[in-house]
Formats: sequence, C-alpha cells, structure tokens
Amino acid sequence: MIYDGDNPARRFLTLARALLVRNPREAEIARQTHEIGRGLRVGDRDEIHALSMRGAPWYIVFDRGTKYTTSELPSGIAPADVHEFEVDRDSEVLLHRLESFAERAVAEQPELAAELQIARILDAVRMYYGPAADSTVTGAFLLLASRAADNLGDGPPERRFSAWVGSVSKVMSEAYDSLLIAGSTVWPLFASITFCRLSPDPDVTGALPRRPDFPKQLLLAIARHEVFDEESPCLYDLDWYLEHPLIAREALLIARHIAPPYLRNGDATVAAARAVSTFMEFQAGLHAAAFKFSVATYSCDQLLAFADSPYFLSHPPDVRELLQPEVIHANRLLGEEKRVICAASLFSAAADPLDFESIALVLTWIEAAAEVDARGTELQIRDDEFALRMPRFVRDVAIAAIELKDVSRRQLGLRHLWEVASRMEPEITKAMTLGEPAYLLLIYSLLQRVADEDDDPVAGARIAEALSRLP
Amino acid sequence: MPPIVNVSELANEVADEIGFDVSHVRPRDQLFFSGFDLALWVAGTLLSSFFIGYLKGIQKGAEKLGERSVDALVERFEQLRSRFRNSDPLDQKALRKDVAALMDEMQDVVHQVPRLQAATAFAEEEQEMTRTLLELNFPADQGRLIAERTLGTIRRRWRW
Repeated sequence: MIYDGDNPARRFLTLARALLVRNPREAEIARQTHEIGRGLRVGDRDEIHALSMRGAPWYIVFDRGTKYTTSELPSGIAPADVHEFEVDRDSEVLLHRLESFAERAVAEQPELAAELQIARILDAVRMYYGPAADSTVTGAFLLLASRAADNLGDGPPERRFSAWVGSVSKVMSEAYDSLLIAGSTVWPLFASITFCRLSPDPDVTGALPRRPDFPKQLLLAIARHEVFDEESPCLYDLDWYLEHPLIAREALLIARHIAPPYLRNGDATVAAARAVSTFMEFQAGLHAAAFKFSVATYSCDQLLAFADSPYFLSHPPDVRELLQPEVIHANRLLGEEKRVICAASLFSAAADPLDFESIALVLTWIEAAAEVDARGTELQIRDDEFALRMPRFVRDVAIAAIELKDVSRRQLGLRHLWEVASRMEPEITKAMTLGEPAYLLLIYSLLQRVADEDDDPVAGARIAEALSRLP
Repeated sequence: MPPIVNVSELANEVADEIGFDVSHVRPRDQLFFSGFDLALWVAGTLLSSFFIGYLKGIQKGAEKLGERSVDALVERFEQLRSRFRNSDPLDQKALRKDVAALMDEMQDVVHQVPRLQAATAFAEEEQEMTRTLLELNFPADQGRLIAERTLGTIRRRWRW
C-alpha cells in the first residue's frame, strides 16, 4: 500500500511543524483567526473588509481578493466597519489534537513513532503551555547551551568564544530542525550569533566588559559552572550590543548586515523546498526557511526599536547616519511577508491536510473547474503553488491534467506527466515510508487513460513497464 | 516565422523564476500576498521591455541588416508596457483580467517580430528590462540579476 491518507505519524509531524515554526501559543491564536476569517468568507467578496483582534495594533485586510496585514486602517474602511474579534489565549485545541495523533502513532506505528522521536517532540511542545512555560523553556534552552559547551576545548576564555558560538549555533539549529524547540525561542539567539560572527574580531565581542546596567541577558550558560563562570563568554540579545558604548559605531554597521544574508538564504531554502518530491520534505523546507526569515525580521525589529531610543538619538549625527532606517524597514517587511507565507502554508497543511494531498479531491476539483474555465483554473493552481500551498510537482501534475483535456495541448500534457514521473520514481521508497499520497500512481493512471483513449499500445507498454518497476 | 513558445507559457516561466522577489513591488507599508498574478504582471511588463530592447537592437543595426523599419512594432510594445504599468497591482481580480488580455495582445504582436537566425544579443534588451525592474521598485542588484536570468530564459525558449 502506498497511500495512507490518515497516517497519524505524518499528521503529527505536520501539526508539530505548524506549532513550532513560531510558537505553540501563537499557533493557537492563528487557528482561531483562521476560523474567524473562514466563517466570514471575506476572501470571496468584492468589497474591502478588515478584521482586528481586540488589543492588537494591526488589521487583517481582505481587499478584492488580496489579503494583507497592516498597522494603518485602509482609507476605504470606516473604523466602525472593522470586524473586531476576541481570541482565547489559553486555548489548547491544537495541543490536544497533537496528543491524539501521538497516541495513535505510538499505538499503530511504534517503530516509526520511535524513529521520528514523537514522544520527545510532544514533550517539547508541551513546554510551551501552562503558567511555567517561560521558565521551562529557558531551562531547556540552557540545557541545550550546556551541550554546546562540550565542544569548547582548552585555551583562554576569549579564544574559546568563537568555538563556543559555533557550537551553540549547531546545537540550536539541530534542535529547531528536529522540532525540539520553537522558532521564537531561538531566532533572537541567531541574531546575536550572526552579530558575533560578522564582527571583525569575534573574540573582542565575546570579551566585552559586562555592565550591570544592561540586564537583557539572553543566554548565560550557567548550567555548566565548571566551564562558565562570571568571566566566561556569553551571548546577549542584539540590543545589548547596540547599546554598548565601546562598540557603538561598529555595532550599527554590523547589525545592519544581519538581515540580508538570512533573506537570501531563506529564498534559496524556499526554492529548494518547491522542487522536492514529497510533502514532508516540502514542509521541512518551509519550516527551515521561516526560521531564516524570522531571524532577518527580528534583527530589523531590534534596529528599528533602537532607532527610536533616546540613547541612539544622543549619538553624533555621523553615527546616526549609519542606521538607514528605510532600508531596514524594507528588509523587515520582506522577511515578515515571506515568513508569513511559509508559516501560513504549514498551518494550512495542518488545518486542512486533505486540501492538496488528496488525489481524489485535487483531480475532482481540476476536472470540474477546468470544464468551466481552464485558463482560470491553471492560474489558480499556479497561484497556489506560488503561495507555497503545494510543492511544484503537484502543480505540474495538475496542470498536465488540464492540458490533457485540450486536444491542442495534449502532447504537451503527456510530456509533462512523463517528466514528473521520471523525477518522482527514484524517490518512491522514501515517499512510501513517509506515507505520501500516491501521486506516481495517479500519473500512470492518467497516462493509461490517454493511452486507452488513443488506442496506443506503445504508450500502454511503456506504462506497464514503468509500473512493473514500482516496489 | 512563428514563435517557438507562446507568450503565456514564456511569461509563466519568467513569473516562476521571479518567485518571492515579486515582494519588491508591494506597497512599502504593507505585507502583501497577491502571489502569482502579481509575478505574471511583472513578467508581462518585462517581456514587453525585452521586445522593445530587442527591436531597438535590430533597429540600430538595420542598415547593416537591410531589414525593414521596426518603429511601429516598438511603439506597439511600448503601448503594451505602459498598459501593463497602468494596471492596479493591488486589485488582484482586475489584474488577472488585464494581464490575460494583454498577454493575448502581445501574442499577436510577437508573431510580427522578426526572429534573427544568428545568436545576436543586444545590450538594449537587458538595459530595458533592468530599467523596468527599477521602476517597479526592485533594488538595483536584484533587478540586474532578474534581468539577466530572464534574458537567459527568453533566449532559450524564443530566440535560439
């Protein structure tokens, strides 16, 4: 059996990614916002609508098919017409859903559940719920940092700083990728790590004298007293470096350059994710990309907040000119927009897992919609792929299905289907292990249908031969 | 000689390559999610610019080539480009309709564009596209990269 549409381990991972891409509490709020928007069906209307979460400084605007968030209410909407809504901040709906997937996965697929570390991931998600969430998360965070300290080696403390930063970076990246820690916990750390790595002399940054009046310490690896004492290197939140009088000019110059490489790297990660041949890898790629965009956004937020501080305004003009707030603001929007697209895709996959993964639903929709408006349907599919709601191979199959219905594009459709099949075939074993939908079988059945219609024995034999290669 | 691919397919490919970079055309104060329609709009505008550059390149060497005047075609592509630019990128529904109509029109005009047999590249093609991307708000370095990439795609699919 290739396809298991209700594979609990798979659904567990999908939901865990959606919960941890930012943090579970915010995912619970996003779920409620999503349901409110869906209930209003505002996206389908021609007019402009705005939603506002009570107490939040932003609006969600649905404007003639386009959805965006903004802090400024669009001029076409009167404040009285804004649909205000409230959310339950203590909601645990998604946690309970995750627990039920975990329970089923452990009962029905014990080996896979163990291999995927489902119990550990569930524990990590649970840390973010409950009144002690902050201290629990910080505790786990410090534990991870202490693990990084194992790679310190010998030598004077200043010299060990670069090695330690690299080790922290590695441990935290692995923890995020393995779904053991949420994005919002680690992205401030990566802004600081990158700051130190971009510094012309990281050892100097690491050896900066501490000041008791800068208490915003992000991470001090107190878990290993034998390695770290008060004089040991540590990492602080980005604003600590920005506010440090010894490196005012350098700190600004360096901090400005944190976002661009993360944005570029995030774009490359998204491009790679679009090209994979399984949904699971696609979602893992978006999860990784969202993290990179978040670090970029976070560093810009810190710089923009710093730009408004009295301390910054007391700097001489030549230092203030280094900030270039308009560039930082533009980078912030780019990063946030891309992060939201990745996160929305992950969330949508968790909320409606069958939207694009079900072969039956995708094909039924295409067959019906293309009868009415083939061009519009094709555009819609391209848009869905562009918005990262599906990997590219699903788009290619869907468009080929439309092309097959048009006599003048039939050969093109056939060529496209064979191309996708040849890309997917080497990945079939992996796809089966992950419980992926049987797209390869769908492709061969579409090809078979055309071969039957055209009474083409050569194509029929080629398909039979391809099917015989499948495990 | 008819084009090897149709304009819509070429524009789809270019739009695909533009990808997330399309964010540069959004309003500065908003997060913006209009996706593929916006990318297709940029791609259509870019293709108009490519053909303007290409025709200007031919025009420059017209005497040597002994070819007919291409003034009228340049003018038609300039009109198309300015109509692309006049579409409202914030109105997804209207944008989709406008872009589809403009692509159809461009297809008709492309049929009349002379295709050169030799692998001739004109500096004007990339210049026109880079300028267009700058006007659409793309940062200079990003604009140059996209123009270069798009040129490669067009040459592969249309020119040679």
